[in-house]
Amino acid sequence: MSNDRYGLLMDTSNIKMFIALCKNKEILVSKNLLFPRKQDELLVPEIKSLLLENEVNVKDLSFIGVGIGPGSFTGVRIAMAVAKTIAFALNLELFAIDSLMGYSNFNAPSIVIFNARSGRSYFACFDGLKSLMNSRIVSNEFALKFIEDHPNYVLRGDLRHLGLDVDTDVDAKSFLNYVSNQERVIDIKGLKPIYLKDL
Amino acid sequence: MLEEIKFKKATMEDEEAIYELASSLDYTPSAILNDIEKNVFAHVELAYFEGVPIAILDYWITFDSSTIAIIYVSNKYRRNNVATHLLKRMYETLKDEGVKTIALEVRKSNTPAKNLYIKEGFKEINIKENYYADGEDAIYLVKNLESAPLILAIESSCDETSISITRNRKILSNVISSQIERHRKFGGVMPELASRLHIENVLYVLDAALKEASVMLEEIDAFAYTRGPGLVGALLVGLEVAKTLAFIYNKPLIPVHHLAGHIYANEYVTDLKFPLLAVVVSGGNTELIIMKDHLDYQIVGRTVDDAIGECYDKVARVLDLPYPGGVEIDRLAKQGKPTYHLPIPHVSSNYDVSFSGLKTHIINLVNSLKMKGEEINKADLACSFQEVALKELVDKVYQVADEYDVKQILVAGGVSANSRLKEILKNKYDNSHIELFFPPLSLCGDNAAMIARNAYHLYERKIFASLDVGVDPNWEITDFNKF
Repeated sequence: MSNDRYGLLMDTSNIKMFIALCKNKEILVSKNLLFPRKQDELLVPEIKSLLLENEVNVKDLSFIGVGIGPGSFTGVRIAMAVAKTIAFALNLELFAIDSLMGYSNFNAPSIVIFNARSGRSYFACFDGLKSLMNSRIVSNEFALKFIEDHPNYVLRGDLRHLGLDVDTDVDAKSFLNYVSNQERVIDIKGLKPIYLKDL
Repeated sequence: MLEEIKFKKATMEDEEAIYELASSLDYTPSAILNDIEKNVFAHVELAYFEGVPIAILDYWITFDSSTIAIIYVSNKYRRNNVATHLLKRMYETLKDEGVKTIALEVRKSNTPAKNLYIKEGFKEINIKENYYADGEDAIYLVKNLESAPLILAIESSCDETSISITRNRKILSNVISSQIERHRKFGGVMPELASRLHIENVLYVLDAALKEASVMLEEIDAFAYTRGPGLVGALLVGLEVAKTLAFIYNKPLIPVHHLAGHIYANEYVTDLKFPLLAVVVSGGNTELIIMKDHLDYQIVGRTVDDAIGECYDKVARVLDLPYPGGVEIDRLAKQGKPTYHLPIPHVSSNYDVSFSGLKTHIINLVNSLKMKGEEINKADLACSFQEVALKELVDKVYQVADEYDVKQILVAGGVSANSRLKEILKNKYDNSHIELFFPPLSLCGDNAAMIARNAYHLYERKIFASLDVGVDPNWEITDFNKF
């Protein structure tokens, strides 16, 4: 057996399905797919073909990196169910990151935003590993003001509900960088999504 | 004639029958009784006709192989397929136990017996010379059994996360994590909370199910999940886990209809005999389903509005009873009398039922009594409600059972645990030619063992889904093979 560490990355917290395959610190392939309301059906088959195309067996994986929200409640649960199940079944290392972090750009100060509905946004601000503002829900007015006050920050995520024409993909390299800097999840069974909205 | 023969697992109560049958056998009664009482490897089956013991089968299971010690049918009752039927019952048990081969010896001169075994797929292996005490040779016969698949099923359609591992009718584990307590403060199931609890609990439940069954995921032959009907977000959690496992281990993925699961919970207590009437009564569904064969569902009647269980829950709520209300009403009704006059719902001349008129009437009645400051006798009202609601249902059950001349009535779904429904139907059908079954209490509510049981039949017919399958919160049972 080789010492290569293969990893599978995924996030379905937003309208896009992000999946990527990496080998050691290199991204072999990544996809940002748009499947409105079909992530539940297509995540596993897409993972299957991604692995097949790259001739990697699921059992050769060493680790999984997953975005665990915030975002669409259902979407967050889809990637989490798949990631947790693979890690549990095959006894892989599991790394969980905030989905807003997953959409951030590792190499530039980033404001990351998703639509949280009802005039609100999921919001966070990162500079590399530094979290300038943790994930939270803010009013759209606050988000717009913050953007205006920080013209040097790159805008990431989906900002169309703010009237801005920004809808970025996940940058696989950044995602992997963030994943690599996380502690592995010890209690895989007990891992919970980040919702930021209580019931 | 086979119809009137009663087959049963022998117990010490059958001692007299053993003595009667043993007189024609190479075995002493005490040897057979020892097998029944003390030998953990032995299984003894008996057949009775009009109270008279007519046949016996004694076989041993040691790990994955089985030996037939005795198979005997009284002269008078031969050529009635009694032996074949005894063997059929044995095959089912052997499948439960994961047995792969059956072996036996038969006297060389006993051609009819040998022919039976050959017909049953046994192969002649060799001759054992001077095998019997009188010097006769024995023919040694062996049959290989196709072992039943090990199925892992996931149920997450509502407020229970359940995972079960089964082999044929043997439930190796059936772990249920109930969320009832968490939903109580909302007075009913809150869909988003249900989904959240499913994703939090599902791997604990999976781990527990595997440990309890002493099975590893690699050994599972197929992964089944509830595809619908149910709460979409809740169903999705079970879907993704089942799909991921089917993908990792490259095994069939089997979508199962939740109500078909409830019906098949009864198969843990009886063989199904067709045509049968399945009375599916739960918090989400009320359907009368005729089955003429396995997996052949025809809906002949259903609720035109509320499900009966839903109606129970809503009436319970207006009476300030805790959730889930069905259980509380059942309990309270026992202390009451049907003194309240309630309207009897009338739908139509067909077999549909309706409960919303009754529900509305009670809500209005309670509200107006509260407004007038009059006291409500909750027990009497619960009793009155239950009598009317169940009458609406059972009247249709009687009619359908007659029209379709059914052999069995299977009650299924959460409301099958209702004690008054059980009592009414038992009064009607005990000592009739129709067999009435309720699932064991542990399998009345939502559970994955029932999903696994239905999945077994789907597995046999290779009704599998590809990995891009989804869920369907409004899936019709008649579309059970469309996804």
